Amino acid sequence: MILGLPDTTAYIVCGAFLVMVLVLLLWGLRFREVS
Amino acid sequence: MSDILTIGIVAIYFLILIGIGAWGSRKIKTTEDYILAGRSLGFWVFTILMVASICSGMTLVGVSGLGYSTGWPTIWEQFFVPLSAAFCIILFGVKLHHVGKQAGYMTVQDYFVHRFESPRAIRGLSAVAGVVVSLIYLVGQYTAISIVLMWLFKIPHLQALLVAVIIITLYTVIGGLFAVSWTTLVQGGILIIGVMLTAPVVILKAGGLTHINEVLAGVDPNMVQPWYPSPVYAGYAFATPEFLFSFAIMLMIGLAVAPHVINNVLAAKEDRYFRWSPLIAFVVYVVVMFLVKFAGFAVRVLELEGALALPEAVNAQDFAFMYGIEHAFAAVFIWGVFAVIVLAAVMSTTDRLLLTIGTMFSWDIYHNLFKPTASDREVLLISKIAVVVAAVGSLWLAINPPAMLAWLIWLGIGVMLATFAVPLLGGLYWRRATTAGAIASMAMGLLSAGVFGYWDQYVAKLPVHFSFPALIISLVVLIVVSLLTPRNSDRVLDDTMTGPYIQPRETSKLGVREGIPRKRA
Repeated sequence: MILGLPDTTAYIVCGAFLVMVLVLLLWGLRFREVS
Repeated sequence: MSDILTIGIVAIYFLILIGIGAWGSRKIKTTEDYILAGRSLGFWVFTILMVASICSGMTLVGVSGLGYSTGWPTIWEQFFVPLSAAFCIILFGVKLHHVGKQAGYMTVQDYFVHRFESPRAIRGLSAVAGVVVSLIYLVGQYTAISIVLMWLFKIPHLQALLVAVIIITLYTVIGGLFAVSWTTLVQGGILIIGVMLTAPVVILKAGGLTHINEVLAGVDPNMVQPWYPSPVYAGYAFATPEFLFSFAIMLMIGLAVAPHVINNVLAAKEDRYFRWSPLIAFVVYVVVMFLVKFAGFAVRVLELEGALALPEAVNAQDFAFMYGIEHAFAAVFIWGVFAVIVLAAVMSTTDRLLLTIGTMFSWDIYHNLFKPTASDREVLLISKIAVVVAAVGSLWLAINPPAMLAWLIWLGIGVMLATFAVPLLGGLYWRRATTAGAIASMAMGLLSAGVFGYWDQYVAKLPVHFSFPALIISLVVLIVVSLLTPRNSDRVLDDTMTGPYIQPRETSKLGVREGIPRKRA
């Protein structure tokens, strides 16, 4: 149990958040400025 | 609770908004200034505008209500909605902003006209669909405002509506997007800071997150699972995996193509903002939405433990956050501040919707369909009149709101998804998408959204959100009709940066970047 949540729920929700942040971070890093 | 202090706080807030409207009006010289704030929005104004345009009355009123009644399985909504801001910027913003700046787009309809070489049919269809959808959405926002004002001042529904509509219409009409975006920055700031300060207190008051989750699990063990099992076994347990899948598509893409959201990308000053604005908009929005959701959980626990009681109403859960605040904070002063927070959330979407309706009517329908010779002054005037007419018209609808308001709001987003998503994505990323394909896809999407929406509501419940089959039909129609009809000219496809890439490749042998539109002489 993590914060009263079943482990699977906690891992799935936190994992989903991290994946989304990572994808948007990669987008930012790979972005090319076009003048 | 309508004491002088509360009225004072709300009155000061309204005065600030009107002041920003008056300031905005001094910067407006042309229609472009009014509609797009002269394409001058800086990074933070743009990023917060993206969040606050999407973050509506549903965020505070609806999300806490959803948390209260459904628990963790609907937490995905708090990912999907913030993702729509990021998707809008990445999938549509980068290209539309770049091409729009060069070609002088005022609305996303200008893109459709350019890309599909269809000056009338596609503009008319998309503008009319956009106006209808925005009006539906607007009625929902007004009702949310009146819920807050009724709760705070104990005034009748009509009075509450009138106060809200007059203030919003006033600053939107006089200040255009300058006023809308800067009031949104103020409203967004109040919303973000306000939720971060108040929601944790409500959560702590309910005994903290661990205790809240334990109590929720006691109500129904599935309330702390990531989704509800299929088939649906209770009214609140609708968030099954298949429903969540169609819900994800609807929210992430449907909101991203909503006219009041996507048009924001045209107003950003520079392309480079699109590098970090998706991440920042997403993270800020997720934090706010999670806190609101947890506050909804907390109120459920407080109610179960007898600490508070929600009103006897069909939509009792929608009062969750407000009652949580009332319970957690003894000082009436805080309630006034909280009312401003909720009003900020609702009004920041409402003003953007009003301006969008005014724009689509004056620019797309009046100027481009009926009177191309209209002067800039005339278009500006029509735009302002359209904002007032839309405000009064939707006020009239909101006086007697339909019984199923939430259904209406999701209908609005579903229709936007089925109508705009496929022609827009097809137009931007598939060179074979043709004029006939786009028109057929848009028309069939609109029609089938109406049919499936009606079917789902009145005939038999569909296992997925009704917009999903409509989206599939729209997609199939685009592909089939496009392959059967002649493609658009290469010049237009190049000018509109059409192709399977988000950013142009820097490869051509001639040293010219592919996909960058040629500057017009």
